[in-house]
Amino acid sequence: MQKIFRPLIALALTLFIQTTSSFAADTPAAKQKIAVVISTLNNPWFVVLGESAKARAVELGYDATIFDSQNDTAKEASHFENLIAAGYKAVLFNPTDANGSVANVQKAKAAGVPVFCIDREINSTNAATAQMLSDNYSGCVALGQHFVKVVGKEAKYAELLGLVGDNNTWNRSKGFHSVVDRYPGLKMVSQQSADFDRAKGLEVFESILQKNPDIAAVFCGNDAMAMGAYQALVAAGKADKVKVFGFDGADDVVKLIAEKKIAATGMQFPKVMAQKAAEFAHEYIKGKRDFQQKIPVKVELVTPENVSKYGDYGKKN
Amino acid sequence: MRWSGWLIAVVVVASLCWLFPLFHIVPLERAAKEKAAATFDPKAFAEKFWNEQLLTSLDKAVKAEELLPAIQSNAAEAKRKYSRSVGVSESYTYYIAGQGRVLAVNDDEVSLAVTEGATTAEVSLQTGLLFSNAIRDGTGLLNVNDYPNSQDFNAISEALNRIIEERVLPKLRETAKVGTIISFVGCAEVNDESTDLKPLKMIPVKAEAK
Amino acid sequence: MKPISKETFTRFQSLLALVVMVVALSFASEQFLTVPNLRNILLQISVNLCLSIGMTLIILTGGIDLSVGAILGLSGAIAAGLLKNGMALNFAGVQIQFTPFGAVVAGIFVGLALGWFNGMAITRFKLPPFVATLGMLSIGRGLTMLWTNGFPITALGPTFGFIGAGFWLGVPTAIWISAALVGLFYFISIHTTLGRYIYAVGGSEKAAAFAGLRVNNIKVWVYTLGGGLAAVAGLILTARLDAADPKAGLGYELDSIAAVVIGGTSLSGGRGSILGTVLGCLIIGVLNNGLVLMEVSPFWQQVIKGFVILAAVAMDKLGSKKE
Repeated sequence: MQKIFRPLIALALTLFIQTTSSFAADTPAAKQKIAVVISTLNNPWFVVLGESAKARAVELGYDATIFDSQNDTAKEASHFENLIAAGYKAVLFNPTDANGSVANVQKAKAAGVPVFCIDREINSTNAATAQMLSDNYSGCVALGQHFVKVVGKEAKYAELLGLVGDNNTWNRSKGFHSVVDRYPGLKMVSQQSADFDRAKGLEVFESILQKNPDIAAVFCGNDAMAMGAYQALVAAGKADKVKVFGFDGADDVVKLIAEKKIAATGMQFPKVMAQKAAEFAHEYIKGKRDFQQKIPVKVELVTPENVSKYGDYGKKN
Repeated sequence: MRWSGWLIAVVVVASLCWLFPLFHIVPLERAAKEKAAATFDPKAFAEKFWNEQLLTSLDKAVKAEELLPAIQSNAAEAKRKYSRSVGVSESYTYYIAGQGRVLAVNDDEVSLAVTEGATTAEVSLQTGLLFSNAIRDGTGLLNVNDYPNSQDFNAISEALNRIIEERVLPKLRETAKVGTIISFVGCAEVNDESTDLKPLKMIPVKAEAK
Repeated sequence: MKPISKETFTRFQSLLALVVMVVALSFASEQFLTVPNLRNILLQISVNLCLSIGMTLIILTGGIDLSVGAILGLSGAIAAGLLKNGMALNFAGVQIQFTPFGAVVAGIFVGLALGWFNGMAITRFKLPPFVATLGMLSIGRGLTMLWTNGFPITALGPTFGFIGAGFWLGVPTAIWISAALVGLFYFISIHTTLGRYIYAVGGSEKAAAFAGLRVNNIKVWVYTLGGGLAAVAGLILTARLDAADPKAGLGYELDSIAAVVIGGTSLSGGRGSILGTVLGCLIIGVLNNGLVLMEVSPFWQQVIKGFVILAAVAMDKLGSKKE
């Protein structure tokens, strides 16, 4: 009985795989395939990025599949090997790490598969075909200036960092500090990492509040942590005393900015970047070759004054 | 028997390490020097860029008496004709030269009237702390594609702003009095359509009283 | 018919499962049965294979090692750091610049040392393996972050890269290394005293001690070897990516335990084999690759993999009940 049971399971699984995949791609085999490789799908922002890229590629007449690297350059390497072997025509790529992902892109280039980076850069100018980059640093310079304007030149504040190994964590933090550190009256009393995570942001900020009840503001490396920090403030009854600054332009934060509960965020444009990258891939397949290597996409400051212009991960029309 | 076995093992390991060394010993100074050579130095770069490229390109700036009326009559047309923008963005920059009469001196700006007989400020030179990519992006002399790591490119912006804060602004703050005529060259960054273009906020590369 | 042992039987089952998957995928996707794709599969399992050999030995003694992923990360990072930045001895005014060979030796040494520490914690301080290695998981992760400051160490050069990205006789070096380790440890587990002792300890620790085996020493050996193998996996991974990512190996202990379990090794120890684990790794590798080739959504992939593990363990339980 068990002798046949195990193979049966395998067979059933394989059939299951085939059926689920035919749901996903019930199209004639003639369609060309585009891969969308995303650093992680554990954060809604990246899900929006991946889905927008995929949707635009499908609109342009391709089969598109999303790969989840789970923030692991090794998983990413496997995805690249597999998709090169599977005959994908182009990769829309959100790299896991600026340095660690270079080798993967070079592998694709060597196999003749063009790679278009979205949102995050790779530290190389001759591997990817083009890179659509969210200008995190300059976005946080603007955010830092607004911070000084709102909080004043004399205050204590805290900072929640993202994942310490992530380039954008430091692009954001450095951009912010390039402004705020020039005002000696602004004192950072605590700088802790909350891994870009809402639950962790809540937890870490609760501890920070415990130790420094007199802070006037908190700068968070992304909106998920800003939401966590805001929840901590609500629970402590201090939501109107401490100003929260985020980054990303997530929907819930934009809504709270409209209600004047969060001070500001930097709006990145995941949809615009992802769609542009898909269009680039389309042009490449059609024969275009001269792409600009790096295309910075400006991050816009969202404040209660201009919040009505923003929503849904971008600008309202 | 036992000790001879150990002896052989030691000899084998030692000769292996001789053939395939595990490490080399390098004086610390040389190691530090090699490391410094491999890392990008934004300050040194900005210094070189400032002296060799930026200060020799001042004549490439648009004349203020040409640009300001153009902006007043048709901002979109002026943007198309004279401005520069990097990547996907609604913001753009102008590279401008001209001279004007000081109307007011505040903590962090000097307001100028450029056209003859103007009574409201048309250009304001920023004299506070500088945070902007206006100089880096405004002249068109630096290209983001030359920098594999955008952090280097960002650091250049900061280093350039610092040079201006140290060399241009103190003298300007000292000499600018209401009524003096100042000749200036610099860059202005405009955020988007809704930005007020009167006065045009500029970061000066050069600003001297006449 | 000659009665076949439980082990051969389970191994046969895994083999059959693998064959069925391969046949089905060959029909389902034209890219599956191509040389580059099969090479990819082998390359992708090479890291997990190294980890899983050690894990098999540990599980055979009735233990578990949750720290292999962390040891992998730390060994890779230390090797990469020593190779790239060397070690500054400020008091002597010199810097020790490691050669690729030296970095490899140092990386493996780190793995062996951490594994030995696991073994000592388990035998001398009588900590349950689950707890001791869970502690090491956290220690290893933390040390990796301290060593790297949270940033990946990259651009390690072609000599070191050869371990992961080089070829010999048309086959990637990483596959050669893992195949050689499989051969070596298969031999050790079947034909040496240490191998027989490992099975004996896992079968019944009391009986083994009663028979005069130095159970603690055997355990220390096994955990030390497990650490060393995790270090080899870390070196392969680092070389393959040309980068030591501080997050490298996060969660790999679970993949490795899954491979061992799918390969028919019993979590209660004493029963199982290295070859079964090889099959387990192949099944996971083929499944991962097949799911990608079939363009299954990444969310479904995780669900499917979970069910495969459940099914494998269920089979194991069903088998042992009947016996």
